[in-house]
Order: sequence, then structure tokens, then C-alpha cells
Amino acid sequence: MDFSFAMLTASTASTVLSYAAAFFFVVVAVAAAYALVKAGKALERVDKVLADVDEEGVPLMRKAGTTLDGVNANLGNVDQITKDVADITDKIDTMANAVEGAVSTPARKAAAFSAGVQGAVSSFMRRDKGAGTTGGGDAAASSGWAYAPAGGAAPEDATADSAGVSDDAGATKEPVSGSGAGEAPGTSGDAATDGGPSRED
Amino acid sequence: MGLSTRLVVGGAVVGVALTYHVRRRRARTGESYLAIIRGLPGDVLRWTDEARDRAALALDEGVTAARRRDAEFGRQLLVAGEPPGA
Repeated sequence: MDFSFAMLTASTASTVLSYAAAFFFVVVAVAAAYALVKAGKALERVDKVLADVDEEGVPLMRKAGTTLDGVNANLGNVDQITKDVADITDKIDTMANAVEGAVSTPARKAAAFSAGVQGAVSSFMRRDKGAGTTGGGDAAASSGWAYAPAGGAAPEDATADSAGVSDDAGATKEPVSGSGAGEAPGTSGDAATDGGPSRED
Repeated sequence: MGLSTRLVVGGAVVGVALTYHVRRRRARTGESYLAIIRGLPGDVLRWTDEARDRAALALDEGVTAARRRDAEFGRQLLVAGEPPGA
């Protein structure tokens, strides 16, 4: 009884395992078939895509090559334009330097010369200079380039006295020169003609 | 223009200038005409000396001013030639 039960149990387990293995292999076969079908479809699509690429890619690449040739030609033109612009810039720079050298030096000399002339004229025409160099006086106070009667007043006063018109001269003559001239009226005429007292200034 | 014409014109110009000077001097100082005329040689000598002195001084100042302006112009050109930010 026990032996038979053991045999039955063993045969049942072996049968179950056999069925399980068969089921497993069936499932594996179905999955493999499904995967192969999918792979076949994918390969078919890849083959179709490759055919399309082979059909349309070559003209596209030819167009791209043509476009690149045009771009290269245009780039060559741009390069030439850049070189021309650089040459023009160099020429303009050279010309500007030449113009600067040709204009700045004469302009500088002219400006210096005009400034020198202006300074000399202003110094020559300065009014207070005349008063300082001629010893001052009524006329020097009124005009620097005008006659300064301080040094030459003596002979003039003397002549005025000798001519009998001392009233006119007395209004402007200075005390020192007037007194000196009055003391020696006889020599005042010579002094007035040779300008001796005035030269001493 | 002949010599006589030149002499006449020159004499007229000198006479006008002398008249103007004498009248102006008399109006300013009140001196007599004779005194002014007799003092003319001395005036001329004095003017000559004064002009010589002032001309020498003016020449020196002019040269100084020209050199100063030249140096200033050179400095301005140097500054103008420098690039911005330098």
C-alpha cells in the first residue's frame, strides 16, 4: 500500500513536471516567435528607411556640395573684400599721416609766428612802457608812444621864456626844468636845438 | 612821378603831419608854436631812442611768445595724437 502510494506520488510529480516543462517551452516558443516577428518588422522598416535614404540622400548631398561650393566662392569674395578694405585703410592712414605732417608743421610755425608778432606788437604798443622809458610826464601819461615832455621841457620852457610867452608854458612846465631854464635863457636856445637835455634821459 | 612832384608831395605830407603834431601838442600842453618847433629835433632823437629800446624789448618778448606758443602747439598735437584712454 505504501509502496504503491509512493509510486503513484512519484509518477504524479514526474508527470506534473513534464507538463510544466512542456508548458514552459510552449510559452518560450510563443515569445520567441513574437520577438522574431517584431524583429522582422523592424528590419523591414530599417530596410525601407535605408532604401529611402539611398534614394534621396545622394541628391541631397549633391545639393549640399553645390551649396558649399557657392559658400566657398562667396567666402573668397569676402576675403578679397576684406583685403581691399585693409589696403584702403592702410592708404588712408598713410595719407592722413602725410597730410598731418604737411599741415601741422606749417600751422605750428604760423601759430608761433602770429603769437610772436602779436606779443611783439602788444609789447611795442604798451602804454605804460613809454611812460617808464621816457621818464613820465603829461604826454606820457596820456599816450605811451607820444612825446614825453619831461626831459625836453627845459629847452622848451627856456624858449618860451625867451619868446615872452611864459604864461602858456607855465601851465604845464615842471618846476625843476622851468627854474633851470629861467636862470639861463641865453643858452636855452642851443639846448633846445641840439636836444642835449632830452638825450640824457 | 618826377622828383619835383615827389618833393612837393612829401613836403605836403610832412607839413600836414607837423601841423597836426604841433596843434595837438599845443592843445595838450599849452606850449607856444615856436617852442614846440624848436624842440622837434630833441623830440625826434628821443622818439628814436625810445623806439629802439622798445623794439628790442618787443623783439625779445615776441620771440619768447612765439617759442611758448610753439611748445604749446606741440603739446596739443601730442595730446591729440594719443589714443583715447592713454
